[in-house]
This record gives sequence, structure tokens and C-alpha cells, in this order.
Amino acid sequence: MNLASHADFIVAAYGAAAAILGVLILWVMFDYRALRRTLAEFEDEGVTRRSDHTARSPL
Amino acid sequence: MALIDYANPSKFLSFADRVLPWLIGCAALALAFGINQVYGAPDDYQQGATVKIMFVHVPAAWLAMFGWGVMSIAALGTLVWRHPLADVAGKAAAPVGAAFTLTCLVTGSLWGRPMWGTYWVWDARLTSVFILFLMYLGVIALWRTIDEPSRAARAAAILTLAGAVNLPIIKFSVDWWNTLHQPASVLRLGGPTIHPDLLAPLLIMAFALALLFFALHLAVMRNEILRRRVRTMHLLQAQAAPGS
Repeated sequence: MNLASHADFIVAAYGAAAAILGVLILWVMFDYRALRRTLAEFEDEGVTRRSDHTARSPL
Repeated sequence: MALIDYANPSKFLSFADRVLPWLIGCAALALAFGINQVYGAPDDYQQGATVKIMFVHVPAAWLAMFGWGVMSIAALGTLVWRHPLADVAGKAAAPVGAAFTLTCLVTGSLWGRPMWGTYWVWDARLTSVFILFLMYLGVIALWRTIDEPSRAARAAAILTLAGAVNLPIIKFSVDWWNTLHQPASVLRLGGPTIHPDLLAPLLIMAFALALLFFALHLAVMRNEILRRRVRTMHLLQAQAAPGS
């Protein structure tokens, strides 16, 4: 493979693609962790949704 | 379990938890294989090594349009069938589609400079894809503007369906107008005009990035369901507070 002629453009294109998609992946991961943490905090405080309560009741 | 059962958010969450690791693993393997194929692909007789930008630019362009297609189908699900997961699917596709559209614009610009002598030109193809990117940002902004999810879903669905008219404009812009951008060379009636040595890595990268798109869409849908649960919990907590 000869990248010599326009190597900087090729590397920049793949770098930009990796950066954009990488930021999206990181945002999804951190968002998921934050949401799970918030839900766990609610659960610790005893706040549960009605459907959760129904699902856990013996009926 | 029937397909309709996945309309239940709890069942969808457990489905997403089971499928996502496999989808992410397959996407990572396919991407690694695709990049290996890209590395070994020959140079183009006219464009030289810059043709390698095509292997990320073209799949990103396809997925940019596919994302809006997914949002349009979800919008129909919201407005016509009021499917419980339709607006979740529509909202989740917006940031993923926007990221692939931005990837398409940036890589296209970096390909344009050595080939056309300019990073940007306001021709029909580039402008219509830029409008697609602005529409993605518009839908994301609309979702963030309206607090009540069902109201936001209806407004976003209408905007999405109105914006779907841009998809054929993007696709046929290179045929309808004189553009600096080249005409279609893969998805065309007469079959691909690209040499098989370049077509194979292109299709492999398209498959790999499509897997990544599906994985990200599923993950963002899962986050959105959890976000709505958090919202419900906040409301329940506010209702239970003394004096409310």
C-alpha cells in the first residue's frame, strides 16, 4: 500500500471517523451507567414504579 | 416468545441485554476484518491511495440515509399504530444517524480536497447531505425542547416524515443536477461499476458499520427506556413528597 501521496488526508479521514463514532460510543456507555446509578438510588430510597410493585407482589 | 412481546419495554430491555454483547462483538470482529481488507485494497488508477477514504465515507453516507429511514418507519409507528417502542426507536436513531452523517461529511470533505481541490462546494449532493445533518440536529433539539415524551414523539414524528422527502433528493441529486460529486457507482440499476477488488472491502466495511449502527441504536433505545423510568421515578417521588 502506498499512502505517500495523500497519507495525511487518509489518516485524518479515518481518525475523524474513529473520533466521531468513539465519542458516540462513550456517550452511550456513560449515559447507561448514569441512568443505572440513578435507578439504583431511587430503589435504595424505596421509590419503585407501580408495575415493579405489582411484579414483586405474590399476586 | 412472539415478536409482539418485545413491544413490552421490560421484555425489550432483557432482549437488548442478551443481544447487545453479541452484536458489539460481531461489529468489532467485522470492523477488524474490514480494516484489514481496506489496508490490502489496491489503489485506484485515477485517485491513487485516496480511494481508501471511500471505504468509510460511502458506508457512512448509506447509514446516514438509513438512519432517517429508520426514523421515518418509527414515525409511522408513532402516528399510525401508536406502538409503545416506536417513538423510543425514532428518538434513539437520531444521534446515531447524526454521527454517521457527520462522519460522511467530514470524510467526504477530506477526500474532496486532494481530488477536487476544495474541502467544500455547495453542490446538490453535498448540500442535501448537510441539510440531512441539520435535520438530525433539529429532531434532537425538538426532543429536548418538549418535556412530555408522548407530545415530543408526535412533533418529532411529523418533522421526521416531512424531512423524509430529502432522502430521494440526496440519492438522485447527482442525476438531477450537475454536481462535482460523482454519480452512483454501487447502488445503481446497471449494477456496480467499481472493480471487485475495491467493491469487496467496501461491502465488508458497510456490513461492519451497519452492525455498529444496529448495536448503537439498540443501546441508545435501552438508555431511552431507562431514562423514561427515571422520569417516572422523579414524578412518583414528587407526588409522594409532603405538601404535594
